[in-house]
Amino acid sequence: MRLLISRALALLAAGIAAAGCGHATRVRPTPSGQLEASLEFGGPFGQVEGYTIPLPLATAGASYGLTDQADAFANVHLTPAVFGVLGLDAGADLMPLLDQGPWPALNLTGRGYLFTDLRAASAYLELDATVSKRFGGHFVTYASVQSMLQFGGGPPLFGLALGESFDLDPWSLQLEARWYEPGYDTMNLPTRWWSVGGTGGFGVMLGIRRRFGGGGGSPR
Amino acid sequence: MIIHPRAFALAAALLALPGCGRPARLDWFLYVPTRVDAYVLDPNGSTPETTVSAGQIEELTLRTDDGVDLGAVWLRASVQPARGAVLFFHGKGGNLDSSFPRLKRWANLGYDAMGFDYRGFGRSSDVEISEPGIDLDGFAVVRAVKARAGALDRVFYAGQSLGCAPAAQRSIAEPSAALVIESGFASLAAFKDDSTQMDWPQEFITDDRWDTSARLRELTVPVLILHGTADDLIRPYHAHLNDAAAHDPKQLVLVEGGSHSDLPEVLGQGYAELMHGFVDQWIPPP
Repeated sequence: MRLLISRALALLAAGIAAAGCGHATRVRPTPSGQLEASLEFGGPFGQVEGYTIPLPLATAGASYGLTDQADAFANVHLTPAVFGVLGLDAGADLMPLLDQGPWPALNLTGRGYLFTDLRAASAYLELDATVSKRFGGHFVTYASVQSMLQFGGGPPLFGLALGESFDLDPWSLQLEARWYEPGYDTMNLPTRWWSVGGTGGFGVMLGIRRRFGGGGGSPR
Repeated sequence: MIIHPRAFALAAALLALPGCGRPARLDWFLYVPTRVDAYVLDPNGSTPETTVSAGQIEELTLRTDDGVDLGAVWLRASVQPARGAVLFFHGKGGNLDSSFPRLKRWANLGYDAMGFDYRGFGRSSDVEISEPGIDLDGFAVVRAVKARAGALDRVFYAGQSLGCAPAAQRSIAEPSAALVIESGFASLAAFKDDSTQMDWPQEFITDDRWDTSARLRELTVPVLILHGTADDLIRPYHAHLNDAAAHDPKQLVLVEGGSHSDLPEVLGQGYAELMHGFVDQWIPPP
């Protein structure tokens, strides 16, 4: 039975990799005129032979600050390439509310995904809302609600995230806990997701970013 | 920390294969063969239901049309003349020895039973396992069943777990009197959907599809679907999908408390009553 489960996990892990849920939350737009490169790793925890590990999803990308409150970004998904699947996403951030006084910043992210092996394709639209508050100059604490629409007939997907970003210009490091699909019963599945109360899957994401150009520092 | 070899293999595959220029395919994760040089085929079992006499057992080697040798066994029913014959398709793990208790149970229910190992399993030829390859295996085994049981109108196919998929595959090509699917999944795509909720194409990772539901939609033979409510490998969701796809006559039995591989034991005497009640109405008496 252990063999069966571990192999099923591998299959499904690969599947998720192919669809790419390997992004850390976009907390705030890249500052105006700056280019930011990013590497992001992680995913939901699954169990292999008794060991619980986050799925090794990885993306690399870049963003450019259009204004101090809006940017555009694009990413390539590295893990799906293992399966001969090209994975790309592109989108934009808009921050309508700034981090001022007691009020947190609000960032809205829209992102389109396309995955294809040139024989078949899948597409998704993700819409996220993220509130964040800067503490002590370098730390940004955030919480996010995420939704993903699937164009291949699958149900809408949801997620909740809580994380911390540590900024040391021009670098920033982001660590995030995420609850994937909190309303979905994940008990008795071949993949032993690390669920929360038997629903959804818990995971972690790590993001590393470096900014280039512009005036340095963040005005946000 | 000790990293389990299988976890290591997974990680290595994920990290190394992009550099190999050939996309990884995960079909091989579907099959967990246990290879042996010779079968034990022990007539003795832990219960009367799984004990037969050695004289009932005939070990066979079957040859497929593409030259693959298959390990097989023909197990005569404990009471002759037999009520009929069953061709059993085992799951994705183990081999003919591990599925032999199930064959003995069939024999003690009054059915001649044919069991075999797919290519790559047991002492069958060690070649690549695939959905088209197993199709050829099934064709060869049905030929052997016909040689012993006569026409397929007194034969039914039974599959367990992954074995439900080749049993349905065989039913399309060479329909028997009835089909029994126990703890089976609806398709690899449905398996992926249930576990991930994502709608990406299953073709991204496997060439094999094993779309039992689609085959059930084409089939007109009677279908009995058994599934444990506590199955923690393939959820009862799949049984409902298969039931929705199958045409009448059909019967769905959800076994309360049954898990993935223990339905005969959980049902006890009810298993015999269920099989006789369903199968015998579609097989003419001897």
